[in-house]
Amino acid sequence: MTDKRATFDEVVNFISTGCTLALGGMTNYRRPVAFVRSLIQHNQETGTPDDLTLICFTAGLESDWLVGAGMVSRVRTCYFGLEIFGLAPMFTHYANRGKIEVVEETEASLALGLRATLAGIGFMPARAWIGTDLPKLRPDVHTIKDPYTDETLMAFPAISPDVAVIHVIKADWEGNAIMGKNKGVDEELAVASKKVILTAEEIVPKLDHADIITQFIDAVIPAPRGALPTSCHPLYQIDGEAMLDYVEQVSDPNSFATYLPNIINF
Amino acid sequence: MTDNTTYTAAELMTINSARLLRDGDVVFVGVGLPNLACNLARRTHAPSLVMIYEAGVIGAQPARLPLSIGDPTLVSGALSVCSMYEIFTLYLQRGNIDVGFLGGAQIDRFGNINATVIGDYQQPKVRLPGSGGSMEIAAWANRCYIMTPHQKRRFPERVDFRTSAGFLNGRSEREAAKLRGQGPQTVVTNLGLLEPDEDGELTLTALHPNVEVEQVRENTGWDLKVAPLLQVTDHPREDELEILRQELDPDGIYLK
Repeated sequence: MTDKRATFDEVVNFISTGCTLALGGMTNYRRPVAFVRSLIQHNQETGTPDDLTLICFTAGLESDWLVGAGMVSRVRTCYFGLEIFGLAPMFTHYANRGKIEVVEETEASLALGLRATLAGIGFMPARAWIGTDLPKLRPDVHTIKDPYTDETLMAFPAISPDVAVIHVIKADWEGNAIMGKNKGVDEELAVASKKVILTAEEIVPKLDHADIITQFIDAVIPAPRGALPTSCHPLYQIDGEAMLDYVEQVSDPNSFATYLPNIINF
Repeated sequence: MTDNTTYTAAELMTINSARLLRDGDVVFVGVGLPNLACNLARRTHAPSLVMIYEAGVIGAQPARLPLSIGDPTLVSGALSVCSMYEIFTLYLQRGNIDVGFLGGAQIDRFGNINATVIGDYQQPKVRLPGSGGSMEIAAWANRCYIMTPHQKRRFPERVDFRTSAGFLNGRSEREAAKLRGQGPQTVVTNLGLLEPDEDGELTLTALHPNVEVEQVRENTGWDLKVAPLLQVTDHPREDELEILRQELDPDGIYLK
């Protein structure tokens, strides 16, 4: 058995400057928030990592923090916002000024791109994006003809992040893990990414059933209540007060800098 | 007794959306008003309606803004859970979703939706959160309903960016693009209902009680056509208002 338990300091160099970093969870749910806090602190102390390409099925609070901290050059997501809590203030600030690159995606294009990597092929076809302005922004996404029916389809390229960080409910020493019922695309992310770090509410010696298995996992870090202020069903609900505090206090680089100690000194 | 002549715009839109749903419909449900509309329909005329939630939207209970929607895996009873890939391929793309609800910052004359950017894409006035699953729902759900407040800035002649397909530049264009769903069927606003005509152009087909045609035209960014047989929607009923206020959103998070 390989014991994959690790500390943040042992894995932080997985995330190198310029790499593609995927964050698990979805919207305001089961985001690897504790890990992101540590990563921002590390960046404040050492200046690295930065120039990240961030991949999120949907990007939320944790991603807005990384953008606010100046660590992200490019985001690849289908949604960047905080739902009922409003727009993601730092993403909005920089995107309105053309200061951050957005690789436009939709839910299907991300799900299919990951699926292509899982299947070990270069793309997955779908009837998506046709009739919209999205293909104009993504010249890298080609159309193909169905060889049997001649139908025109979009061919979504395989997506393979350099590193994924996924927050789970329970993991064991080997890196097998249970993520709960709301999976988003985390099972796909775990298999499609070149390196995978799990942060876990609880670590036990041995699980007898798992959603993600050890083969795809590189490290497991303990992070009790590590998704807060996002939720982690069924353990805890979203901390709406904290979400509101952030959107009320932060709107630009100056207010973000003032707020930053709340992120790091949690 | 509930006074059914006094209601909020959100209540009016939710009730009129619920009435569009049919018993047995499989509905792709978002948070907020569509969620309330589906639950209202289930408690009234559509008890067999099946709700499919987009994964991962969780309830919050902050003191300043108490939310009661709860974890979707709890509120829906989570008969089954599948991956996002399966939701979009098996359910939406394959045609196994009857109804999708959509919103958006802009909805144009042909029911196309913008959820990406206001202004020029390269030099935006406002960057919006993005498609999410809007593109997929608009293209693939058999019927789409759009809920939005009726404001001129939300109803331009053409969207600044077409995130999600309505009828493109006309019904025949959508058909030629082979988008499998039938496209937007009704736009429910706080003033009335818009429905596509034979060309796919959104047309005023019903007013809510005490609303005038001019009011709707003034709040629409194109020369809005009015259907020859203009209807007036039924007043919200007492039972509809009671279910919304007492059972579904007692704290008035979405409906106030």
